[in-house]
Formats: sequence, C-alpha cells, structure tokens
Amino acid sequence: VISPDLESRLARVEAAQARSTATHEIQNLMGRYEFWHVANLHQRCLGLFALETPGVRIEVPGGLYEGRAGVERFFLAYHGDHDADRPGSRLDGDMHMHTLTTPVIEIADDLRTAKGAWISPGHETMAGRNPHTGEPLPAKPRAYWAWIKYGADFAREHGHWKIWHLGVYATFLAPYDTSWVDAEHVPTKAALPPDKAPDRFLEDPAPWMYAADKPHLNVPPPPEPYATFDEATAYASP
Amino acid sequence: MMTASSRTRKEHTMTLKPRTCEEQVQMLADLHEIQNLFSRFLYLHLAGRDEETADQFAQETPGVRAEFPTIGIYDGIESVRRFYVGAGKHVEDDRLGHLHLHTLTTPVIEVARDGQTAQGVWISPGVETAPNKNGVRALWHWIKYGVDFVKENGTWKLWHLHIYRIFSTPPGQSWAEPTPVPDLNLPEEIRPDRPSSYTWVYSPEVATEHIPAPPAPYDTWDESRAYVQG
Repeated sequence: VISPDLESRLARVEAAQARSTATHEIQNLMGRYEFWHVANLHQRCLGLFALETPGVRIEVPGGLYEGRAGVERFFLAYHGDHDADRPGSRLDGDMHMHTLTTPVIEIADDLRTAKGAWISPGHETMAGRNPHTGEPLPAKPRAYWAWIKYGADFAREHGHWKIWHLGVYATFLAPYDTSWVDAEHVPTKAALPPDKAPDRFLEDPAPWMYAADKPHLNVPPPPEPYATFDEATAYASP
Repeated sequence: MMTASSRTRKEHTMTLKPRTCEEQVQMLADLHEIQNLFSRFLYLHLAGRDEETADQFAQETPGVRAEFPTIGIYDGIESVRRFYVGAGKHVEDDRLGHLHLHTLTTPVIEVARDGQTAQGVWISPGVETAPNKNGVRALWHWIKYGVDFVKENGTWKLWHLHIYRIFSTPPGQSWAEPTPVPDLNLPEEIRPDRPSSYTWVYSPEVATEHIPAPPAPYDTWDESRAYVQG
C-alpha cells in the first residue's frame, strides 16, 4: 500500500522529471537543427518539424512559410540548390552558422507544448548565389556577421518533440569588417521566384532589426511559465 | 579585494553528501529555473525594461550587490534598482541606436545541497552600441559573469551579479589593439556606492586570469564564496 504522502511525492517527482527531460530534448532538437543547417542538410531538417500538426510554419526575414506545404517549400525549394544530400548542389564556401545561447525554455503544465527563445551570435558566408535574393554572387564568397534571435513553439508528435512555429528574428547582418551601425540592409525575399517564395511577404527590414534611429524591441519576448498553449503568445507571425 | 588564489581555492571544495533521487530531480528543476531567470534578465535589459530588469534581483534578501568593472559596486536592492532604472533614463534616454546585447554560453551552475542558494559562471560574447557626440559607437564586447542566486519565497532571484571584462573592440579592429574606455560621466544619482574590486581586461601586456573561477559543489552558503564581496 502506498501512503498518500508517498503518492503525492512520487507525482511531484514524476512531473519534475518529465519537465527536465522535455527541456533537454527541446534544446537537443534545436541544436540538431543548427548542426544540420550549417552542414546544408536541409531536406533532413524537415523531419524536425511538426508536419502533421496544424499551423506549422517558419518565419524568416522578409517572409513566412505556412503549413506543411510552406515548410516543405522552404527546405526543398528555397534551400534546394544547396543541399548536401542532393547531387549537383553548389556548396563550396557556403556556410550559415547560427549558435544557440541565452535560452529561456518553458514547458506547458499539460506537457503538450513548449516555448523557447534564444539569442544567436552567428555568421553567414554566401557563395554561388545570395540565398536571400537568389542573385548570383562573385566567385569569392562574402562573409557576414549574422546575429539573430529565435522564438519557437514546440509540439509533440508520435511521442517526440517537434518544431511547430519557428521564428527567426534578425538583429543585424553586417559584413565581417563593418559595424552593424554602418552596414547597408541586405534585401531578402522580394526577388524570389514563386516556387521558392514565402506564402506571405513581411516587412523588410523588420521593426526589430537594428538601426541607429530605432529603439531595440523586446521581440521575441522570452516565454513565461504557462499552463496550456495560448495562440495569442505564438511565435512566428500567427 | 578578490584575488585569483581565493577564487581558485573554492573550486576544490567538494560536497560529500550525495543527493537522493527526489533531491536530484529538484536540483534539475532549480538549474533550469536559474538559467531561465538569468537569460530573461538579459532579454529585459536588452529591451530597456529597466524596472523589470531590477525585479529579477532579490527584493527582500539582505546583501544584494552588483559590480560593473568600469563603473563600480552597488550595494542593496535600492541601489541596484537606482542604477538600472536611472541609467535607462539618463544614459540611454530614448534608446534610439542603443544595443546592449549580451549572451550566455559555457555555463557552470552549482545549486547548494540545501537548495537555498546557487552559483553560476558564463562566458558572454556580445555587443555594445551607444550614441555619443561622434555618432554611434559600436563594439564587440566579450565579458564573463559570476553570479550568486538565492531562493526567495520559493522563487530563484539574482543575489550578487559580477561582470568581468574580456575585451571591447570596434568591428574591424583586433582586441589586441587598445580601445579607450569611454568616459561615462554618470549623473550623481546613478553613481556607484564604491569602486570596482577587479578591473582586468585583455591586453598584450597581461596574462589571462582564472577569474571568476567556476563554482564547486557546496552544501550551504558561505559568504566567502560570494562573487561580489560585501
């Protein structure tokens, strides 16, 4: 016979253990996404997303890719011609490295969803074509500092955590030897052909991008503890 | 005054009492809350939410302290709030062009065996950007954090915050070249209570130091462990 006190203690331990495990799995999920992204394994990244959950989406600077079809277009078409798993891809000198720091991760009390925010110091080295505009680049790759923030919602599918809404919030993109105060804005999605374009074009530059005449915004806001998912708090332009 | 030897000594003070399964689970929850707290503190600071930034410190626990290497030490929660809120009003003004972006990497966090305090260190690549009379000054700004935390009414709070410089350098310039520290010219109402205890910064003429040393496991709080000495 288990005493009520022991039962209550066991329940508390089990709930805390489930939250700790979820936090670890979500950090690993996002970390795996970054390792695959920098290795240009874009098709493989599709498996990290909640493709069967309504509302799956990715917001990147300049555009929003919505639903399963949008997410597939992002990884298979937008990133399609520089994918290491596809023969003939142009990969030499192409490197887009984003790190995950300063995490705030909250698991819903119902353990069905989670939310996270990260600050990401990183760099982008563009070769072959400008991945944002599709325009051809000179033979020598161009190197930029790329500092961004992430705000992401996570859902469980078949017992595994998956990325549900991924928001990429750029802070600055500046040539490696130029201050972000002086860097010229690099236009993003406007020139893309329809088969690579987002479902929705967004303000570019976004209001949260650094500029000397703007205040820096609290976007994305780090998540607060919560009981169950509220669409009003969703990341990535709901 | 903090010395390299005093901080190094604490790294080797090991706790001997193992945690039960229940206590280990609680410790994992504490570690997560502490990382969330300190990350959230930096998001709020970056967004200029100065009152909320100060709210992340302990409000009722004696001995709250914050030390900034080129400014000084603030003693007590009222003084720490005076700094964050006052600096927001007087130094950042309308916040146009400001970007005080600090990240948290390489964490070492230890929760006391009694679960009432914790200590952590982080390496922080970041940027500082602020308007001055010559335009807008941008710097790569790498620092380390040494922080003590305390549980107040069941919630983790910042207790002692210490920022340690690594280097500040303009984009395009090596950190091995000197970068003058700007004269902050702080208004009287946000000046520190006392001078900094430690002002190391990288230069080709100095060796790196093992400060702040990562915390060692410990049983219960001992004031000599504090990252900002009282």
